[in-house]
Amino acid sequence: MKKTKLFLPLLLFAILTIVFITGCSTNDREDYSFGGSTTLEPIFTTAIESFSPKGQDVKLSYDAQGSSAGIKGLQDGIYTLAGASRELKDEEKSEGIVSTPIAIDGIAIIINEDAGVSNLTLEQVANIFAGDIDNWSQVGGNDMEITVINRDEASGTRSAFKEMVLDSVLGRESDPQFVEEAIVTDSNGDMVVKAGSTPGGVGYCGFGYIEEAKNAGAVPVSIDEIEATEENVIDGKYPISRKLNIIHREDLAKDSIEAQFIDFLLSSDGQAIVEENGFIGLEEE
Amino acid sequence: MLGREKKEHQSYIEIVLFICALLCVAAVVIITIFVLVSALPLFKEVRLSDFLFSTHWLPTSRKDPGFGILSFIIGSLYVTFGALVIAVPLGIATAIFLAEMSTPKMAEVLGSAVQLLAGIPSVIYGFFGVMVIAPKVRQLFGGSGYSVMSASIVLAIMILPTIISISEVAISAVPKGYKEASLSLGASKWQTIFKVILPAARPGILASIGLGIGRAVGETTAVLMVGGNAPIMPKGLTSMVRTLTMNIATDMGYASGLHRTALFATGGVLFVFIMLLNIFVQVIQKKVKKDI
Repeated sequence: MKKTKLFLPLLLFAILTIVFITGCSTNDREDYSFGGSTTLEPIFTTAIESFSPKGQDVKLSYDAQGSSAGIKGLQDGIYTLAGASRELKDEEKSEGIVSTPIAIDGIAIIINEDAGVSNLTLEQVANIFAGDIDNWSQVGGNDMEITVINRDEASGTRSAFKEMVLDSVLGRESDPQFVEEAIVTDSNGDMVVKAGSTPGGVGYCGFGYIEEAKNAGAVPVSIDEIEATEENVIDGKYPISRKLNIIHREDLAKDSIEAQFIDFLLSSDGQAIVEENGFIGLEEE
Repeated sequence: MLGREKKEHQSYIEIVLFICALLCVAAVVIITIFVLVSALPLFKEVRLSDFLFSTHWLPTSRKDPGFGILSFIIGSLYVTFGALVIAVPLGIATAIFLAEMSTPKMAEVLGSAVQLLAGIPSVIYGFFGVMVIAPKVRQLFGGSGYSVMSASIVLAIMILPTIISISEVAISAVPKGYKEASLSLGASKWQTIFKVILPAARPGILASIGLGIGRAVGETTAVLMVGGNAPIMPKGLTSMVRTLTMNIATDMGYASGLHRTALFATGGVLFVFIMLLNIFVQVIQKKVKKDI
């Protein structure tokens, strides 16, 4: 009786062990882990699907953790390529890593539909995110409290937004900060969901997430009467745009998988992927 | 001959088991050392009092960096206390019902439902919180919905199984004689439960609350999803909140230098808190053994 009781768990244990061991060893494809910006995630995932290097069977993956997390992962050797939606800082450049731009992206200001606002000046946007404007009626909307939705500090979109809006309007010397009383979200996806579901909510996201934001109930507003569209970014009218970068080591070998992947993204096929995901290709500039 | 072989066999097993036990202890020691060593460099540049008693948290500011975690300590205490206010009465009432009033069949069904509650992953609780609890809280109490109150409600549901199952064991363990003596003296069922059984089971119930607090303080994912995560001192039940665990989870991915050591120190504070709680629970449980 006792034996039969033990038999089943032992069998299960044995099977699991075998699966575990074989699962680790039969995989003769080479693994490459990339990671970083959540803005770049759609580009990476589509590109990984269609990327096929010459004569090699490789497995690529992209871990969307935020730009700073990606750059840190690259420095620590966790990733061999990182996506970043901001420029490298000086102290990062000095550590032997460089950036290659692959796309251009605007940052849209998205507002919950109930606020009743469709246009803001860049100055108003800066004051809203700094906490100096806290009711939609102050900018011509309904009498409704503003709930600022921010990104976490690992986000490249956040640091690009801070540079282009807070720093440029309020002055970099004064070291302006985001209002502390703000919901902090950890990805573009989380951002659009919370902006869509929080009455009076305002946030920001890459142009690639505008459709998702609309579905969630948040609308992009025009800035200084300039609509958040690709054309306006290309013409240089829309004020908030940045380059999306691939971050890699300086000494990348020419025939390495990483170099081939970057070349692929810069090729016409790669740039088509960039555009089909709602971003702006480099040659359009 | 055979007996000696058996004996040798046993001593081998003893050694293997001893090594297993050592591994556990080693893990605790290594983790403790790791957290302390990683956290210590912070205090070369930031005073302990500035770390523990300041609300100024701006680790990446160029001009005026701050590493004060007081808001997060208060945030942790706040949501934990809120969770206890909801979960303790509910949990003890359920435990009394399970141990004293329900039929065996009903107790079995309810008991397994409670166990199931304990097995739900915390990200599911968080998801439920975002989709159901936060909008309801927003509707009823105002604010953004991502608040102390939402976090407390989610945590309360999460710690209920701990409180119920351990309290139930404690209540069931009260010697039958106490109950029979009380009833035969003419006390009613309610008088017996409140004046005899609950006081006798008190140490076990307190231990269940202690373990519940441990789970609530340490929970990360679910509160991260419903707490709002703003690094501010919570002003009220509808205010957003960031707890110690949320602070670590939010910043760990990219923090470097002093900022990183500040996160380890935050972990150290959490560690000390949980350790004190465990000592409290163990002291109570020793007391239970002495009493019985």
